[in-house]
Amino acid sequence: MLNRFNPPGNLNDLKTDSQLNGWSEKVIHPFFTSELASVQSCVGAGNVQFVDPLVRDLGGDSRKVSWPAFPIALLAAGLSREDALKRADDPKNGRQVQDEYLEWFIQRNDAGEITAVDFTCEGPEYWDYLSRTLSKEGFTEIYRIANPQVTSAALFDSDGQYDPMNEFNTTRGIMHLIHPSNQLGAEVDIVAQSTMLRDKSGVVNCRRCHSSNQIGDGNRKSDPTIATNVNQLALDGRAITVADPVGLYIDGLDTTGWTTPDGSDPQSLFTITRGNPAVRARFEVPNGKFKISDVKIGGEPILFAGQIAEHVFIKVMVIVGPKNEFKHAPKIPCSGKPTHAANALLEHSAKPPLGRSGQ
Amino acid sequence: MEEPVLSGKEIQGDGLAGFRKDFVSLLFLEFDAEHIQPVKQWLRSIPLATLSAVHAFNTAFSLMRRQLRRDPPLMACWINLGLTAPGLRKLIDKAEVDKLGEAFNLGAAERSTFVGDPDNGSPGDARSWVIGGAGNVPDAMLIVAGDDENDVASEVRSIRKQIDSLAPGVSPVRIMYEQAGQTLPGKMKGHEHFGFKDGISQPGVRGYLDSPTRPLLTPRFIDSSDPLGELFAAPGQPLLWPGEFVKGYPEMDFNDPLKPVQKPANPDWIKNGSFLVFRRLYQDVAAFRRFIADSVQKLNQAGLPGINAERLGAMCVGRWASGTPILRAPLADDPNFLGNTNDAVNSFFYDLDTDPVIWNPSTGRQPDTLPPARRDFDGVTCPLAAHIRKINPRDETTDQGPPERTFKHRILRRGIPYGEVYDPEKPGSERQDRGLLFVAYQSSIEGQFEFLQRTWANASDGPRGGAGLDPILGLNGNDDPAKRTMWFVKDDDTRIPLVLPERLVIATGGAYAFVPSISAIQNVLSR
Repeated sequence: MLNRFNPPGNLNDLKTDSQLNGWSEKVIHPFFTSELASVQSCVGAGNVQFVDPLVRDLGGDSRKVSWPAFPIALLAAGLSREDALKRADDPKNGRQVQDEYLEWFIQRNDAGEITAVDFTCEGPEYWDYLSRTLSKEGFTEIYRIANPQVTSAALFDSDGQYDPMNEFNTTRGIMHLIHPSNQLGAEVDIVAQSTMLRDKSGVVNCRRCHSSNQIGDGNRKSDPTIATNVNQLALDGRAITVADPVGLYIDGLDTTGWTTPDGSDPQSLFTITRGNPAVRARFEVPNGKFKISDVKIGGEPILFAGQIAEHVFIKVMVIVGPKNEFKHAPKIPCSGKPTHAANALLEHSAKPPLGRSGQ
Repeated sequence: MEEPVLSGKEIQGDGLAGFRKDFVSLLFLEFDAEHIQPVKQWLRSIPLATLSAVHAFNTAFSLMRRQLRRDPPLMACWINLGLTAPGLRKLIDKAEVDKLGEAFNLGAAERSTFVGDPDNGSPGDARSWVIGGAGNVPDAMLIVAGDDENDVASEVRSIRKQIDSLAPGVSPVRIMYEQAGQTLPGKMKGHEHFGFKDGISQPGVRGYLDSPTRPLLTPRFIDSSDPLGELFAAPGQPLLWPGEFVKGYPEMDFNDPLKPVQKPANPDWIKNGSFLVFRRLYQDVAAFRRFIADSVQKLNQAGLPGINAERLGAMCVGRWASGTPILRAPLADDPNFLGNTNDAVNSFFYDLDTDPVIWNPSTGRQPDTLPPARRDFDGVTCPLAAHIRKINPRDETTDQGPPERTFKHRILRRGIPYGEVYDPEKPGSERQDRGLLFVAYQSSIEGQFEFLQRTWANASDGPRGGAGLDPILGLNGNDDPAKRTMWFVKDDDTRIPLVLPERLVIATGGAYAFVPSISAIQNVLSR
């Protein structure tokens, strides 16, 4: 049985028991308890398939839900791939569209060429907690991975509050996720809310039970993929929880068909810089042996960081119990609009059996 | 919802309608840039089969076959033309060709490692391709297809003759490579060399032809009273907007399969044209059979006692050799599906129990009373890595999001086998060249063929985390054995890995071509 939630990526920024307990008790565990209360109020005690891992050990049957990290919303908005790549990399609005739980910061040389890209999937909650738990100096020191020039003054406002939108997490570097949807709490929420069976399996666009808020954002790859996979697991009557440590993780970079000018392995350009599982990675050519634009993906030179993000996979791990533990969980009315396919399929399967049309 | 009108006399016929012939000859051509005028003159003269002609023939053929209960004595021999980027650059300004996209301009060989072919000199390396590799990229590709082998041969002779007499003393057009293909004989008719029925599941296309009777391109068999009828023409046949396959028509909105999105053709002359992907896929039938036999033993020992060779094959493909979907006949093939003309072989979903559809009464179809498919989210019956589940996940939510997004990645497959059927009794048969001439039409090579091959077939986590590699089509570059695993799942959630052999299917040729409209050939490309 888990006795406390570990920091994302098993990071060792928190040193003392008190700091580690605080992360578990003050940040992560409340996500679980509030979700459990919400789910129970909807389905009733005895039908709650979402599990608090500090209360019940589900064992080791883990399921990976993963997706490529380039935002599909840009393509869904009708942009061509090239325009989508430009938009995603644009520092003016770049991170406002990086909504698949991976955000990146590009370093360029004077000629405007990409020299390095830092990717992160660290949730903002963790950095908020660090800012309130560590000394300013200690916090600032860890932050220097974003930019060696980081100073405490740049990270904290005049009231001593950490500013997540500080320049070293926006215009001069990247430390953690800032897109409003890219949060650890959102991950736990989507999983928990999706453990409830629906009268339509359009859980993707369903509203949260007892709330007008939607479960995640259907205009992404990540949220619908997490929601539907969890909902399908729940349909088999399984108990479900988010794997510890709770977080979104970089599941790797697929470099099949990538080439470098010196024949070196393109994987060697992608270094995990924080976490195990990985929460931060850097794409860079060691010692400037060649330019990033000399690296080709299927013959295309890398001109946008988004081309790399197209091949970075993000994952969420959920833990499941055996099938058929829950046999009588009620189906919650789905107040949202299911996707068209889900709707058609469900209405089709709900139609009266053969013979209705006199065939 | 209004569906678009398709220019039947402009669009070449193999893409949207499909030649569906038993005999094919693919001619790969090189143009002499120094003598391009005779090439252009010849291109203008090729009698290309249009969508209208092919659709009319196919419709009449189907009608007569239903009445006669056998193939009617209707015959045709048709030609279509595709041009590669190097070929187009010889005909028109390079800047115009550049607009056709990165993958097309780079070409099949340059993109081969991206879709999983090796580059270390082992079989499949594009440098060793018989056509389309380094130094032998064709400028054009002619598809000659007919119901009668002699007609095809005679048409090819006639083409050779025309080419030879284009200009005195020079050869403006050279045939670099000729590849014959034909449906396999006897009981293997309609099957590919590993023995499985092929080409069963194809997407439907919305739209009417502009001929006087304005027929629907894809007939609708599901009644409008069935909610599925809005999205599907027949079970397993989703209705896609024609812009997914032909340039200049509405495409599907990413999030709404009922919402057309009109994108202008750019440049204008690509309207009514499609991208064609050709892959010459060698199939190692003896190795496939050895893999099946060896793996049956391994799986039996690993705790799956009920698996025999036929069932393992079906679990790798997702269908029994006959074409019966394993989801509708989980333990053994059901002969009742054979010859069933009711689309029963294509009526199944993965994440939901599948009920029979309500037929449109005018189709005269009988209720589907064969055993239905039952929900198989975990892949106990049909493994998540099974070939047809990897490349067509149907109702599954994938790494791209909701199931309708999978529609954006469908292709129109027009492949045909080549080579003789493998006969283990025949000396030397194992070493003979045989396989599939894979031909697919789409409006985006990156978003359709390459996506399916790379993001789903080749990836262990596509279209769902933990799916494993497609045992039939999955390619893995220079072969990292750690990435060559598929999984068998028992009802108690036990997962049993099976390490897959290297390259049962090997690319030995390829081309990315653009199949232009008739008027683009007449008025733009040959001027």
